[in-house]
Amino acid sequence: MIDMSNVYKTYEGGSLALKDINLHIDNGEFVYLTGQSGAGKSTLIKLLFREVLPDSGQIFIAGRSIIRLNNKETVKLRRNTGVVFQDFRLMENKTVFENVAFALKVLEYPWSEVKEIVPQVLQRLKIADKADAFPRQLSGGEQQRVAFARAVINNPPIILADEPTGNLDPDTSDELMKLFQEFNDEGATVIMATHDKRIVNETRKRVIALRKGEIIGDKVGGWLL
Amino acid sequence: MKLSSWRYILPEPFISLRRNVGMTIAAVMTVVLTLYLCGVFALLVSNINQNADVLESAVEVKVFIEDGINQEQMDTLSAAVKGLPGVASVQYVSRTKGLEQMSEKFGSSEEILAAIDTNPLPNSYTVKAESPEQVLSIVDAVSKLENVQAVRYGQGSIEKMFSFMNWVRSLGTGLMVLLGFSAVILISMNIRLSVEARKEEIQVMKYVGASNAFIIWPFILEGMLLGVLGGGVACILVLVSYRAMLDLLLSSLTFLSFVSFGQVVLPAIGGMLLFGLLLGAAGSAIAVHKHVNV
Repeated sequence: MIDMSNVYKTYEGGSLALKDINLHIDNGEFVYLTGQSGAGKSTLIKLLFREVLPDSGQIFIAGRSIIRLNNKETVKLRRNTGVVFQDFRLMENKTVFENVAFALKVLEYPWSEVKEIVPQVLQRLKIADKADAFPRQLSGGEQQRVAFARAVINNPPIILADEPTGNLDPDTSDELMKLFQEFNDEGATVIMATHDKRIVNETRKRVIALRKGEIIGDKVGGWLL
Repeated sequence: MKLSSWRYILPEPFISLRRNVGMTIAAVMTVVLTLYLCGVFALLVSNINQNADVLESAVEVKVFIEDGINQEQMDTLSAAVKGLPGVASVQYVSRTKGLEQMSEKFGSSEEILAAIDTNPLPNSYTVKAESPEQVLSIVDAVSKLENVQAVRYGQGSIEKMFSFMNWVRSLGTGLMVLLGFSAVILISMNIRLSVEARKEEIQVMKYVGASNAFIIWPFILEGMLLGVLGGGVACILVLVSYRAMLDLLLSSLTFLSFVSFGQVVLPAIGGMLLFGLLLGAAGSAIAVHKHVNV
């Protein structure tokens, strides 16, 4: 499903973000990327939805290199990838319904379908009663659910998450993790950057540990740092 | 892009223009000013063109006759002039009549006339040409005739008029380019503001996989809307001022002919709306190119 070989990434100013990354992730896997801040977790996530490009190396998704894509292919890649961020990135001047509907509008769904799909997803993520609320009126957990709804509304085969529980308390984190698990059970490949030791230890998934831009461990179960 | 997507895109420019009312007004005003001046110059040039024909056809050749020739010689000369190719009419002006015409021209300065004891003017013919191009050949032929003292015609005046028209045209073009340029810049600043205001939306659009067209079109439409708004206002202003000018001048400047109001209406509306649209599209294209990283 996802293959990276000899991937290097340096940001402007010369700081090395990733060094010689080689990894393979199977279809339907649930993978944690762990490591301290600055280890390169976010950069790895960004590479996968082409927010940044590597200096060298190759990245394949579903057998296709994503290094040289034209605009159309980039759009297609992103439509097949749901992304959830630590800071939610909701639009403050739009309601919950509008935030989620926005993703479908952008994907050019007809309005009749948008009206049908959005309430279903909000229902499933247990935020249907907040449909008319604005993000600032919601708790952190609720905001992250809205962001999650927006990411998964068109059932992407890949879900990327960058510290999704970073701003949430343990109980809310667990609720959110259940959602990731649900979509993973339904076949989505989930790749989540986190430094939440508790979650990683409780769920026993494959863990890829990074330090200073290099992979220092890759095995199933347990915290590797 | 799907047809149904326009449902999402079309309302965006209106929302955005409402958000930055100040800048919107500034940009629209610049377009109005630009297009208003363009319109005024276009009308000026087309009226000059129209009158150029009239003025040219009024070109006359003055043929002054030698003093002391007899009636027979006079008749021969008259017939010879009338027989020249390209001559439309020949009118005899006696020296007394000539003086009268002159005193009409310099009506108020009777003192000058009083200072002249004797009439210095010779008898003359006023020859009108069928077309301006024939004036020179007539002058040529007449000056070769006997008993002709001198030939005068509007030397240089046609050339002067044409150079004046060219001057007006290049001044107009220069001004239009300059103003058009500033309109494009102001529109692009306006669009840049709305790009800034919608930065997070654009981010989210990219994350969820919006096509470039979907991201860009609202801004292009916004620019076009600014341009068309400006064009519409300018068009109304131009038509109103032309109407007023016609009302004012038609009665007083009867010797000039004006392009009629009816002839002006459609080209003005079409031209100015289209020009506004293009200015707007250019402005937003610049802003989008510079500030939306798709």
